[in-house]
Amino acid sequence: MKIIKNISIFFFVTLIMTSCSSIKEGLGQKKLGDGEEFLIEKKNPLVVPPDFDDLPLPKNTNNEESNNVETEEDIQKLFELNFKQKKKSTVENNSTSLEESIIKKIK
Amino acid sequence: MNLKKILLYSILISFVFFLDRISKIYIINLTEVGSNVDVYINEYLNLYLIWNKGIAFGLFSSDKNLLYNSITVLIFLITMGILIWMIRIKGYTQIFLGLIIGGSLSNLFDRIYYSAVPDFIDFHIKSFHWFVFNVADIFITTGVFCLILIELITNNKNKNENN
Repeated sequence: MKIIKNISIFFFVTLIMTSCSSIKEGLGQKKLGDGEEFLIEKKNPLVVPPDFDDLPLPKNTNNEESNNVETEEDIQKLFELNFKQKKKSTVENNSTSLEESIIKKIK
Repeated sequence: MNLKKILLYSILISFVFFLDRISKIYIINLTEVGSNVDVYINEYLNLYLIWNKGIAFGLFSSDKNLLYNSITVLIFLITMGILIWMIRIKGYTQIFLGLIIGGSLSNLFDRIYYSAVPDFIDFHIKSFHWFVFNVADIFITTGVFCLILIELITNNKNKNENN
């Protein structure tokens, strides 16, 4: 009987002193025991607003689409213009800089 | 217990304590660098950091301070009891008690300093994972296993002598 008592004491010591833990805890599969479900605020159910009939009707979608296409084309045109202007200015700058460098070398 | 033995067992306890501390600090530093500690060593061993607030097998793991502090005090008392036992007895048992004390002190240090014990040795065979443990657990388990063996051997000897 003494040996059983001693061995059970040793097992108790191991149980208390070691600190191994399940891999499930690390992977987050552990259930949370102390969730406070009563602290969650209740949201009101969705209802139709009282002035719903007074709201303006949505516009015709076809018109909007055509408008969108027009504006897109305008933007493209603007970009093309800007690009051309920039190209011109860079070419001019390059030519002037080339002239200047030649003049410097001659001097 | 003479001075030489006290010194020897102090070195043993310190060795276990600091070996465990170094391993834990290394693993904790890995997380501080920013990487998640999930290191593949080989097909049977991974390093995976888990913080255990309870005792063995994750038992009594809870966020309640009273339970946590009670367990910490209990571990401290048992460690002191083993230390007194170690001073009083003689023989090989002292070495194994030294291993248990060293490991226990290191786990106790973590419980006080980090408020949890870091476990990181994940031994597994395919998808079957053993409980994640640390270096201190290895020493404590080895110490207890050897104590049980000594107990069984001495018990058999006594039986034979009586017969």
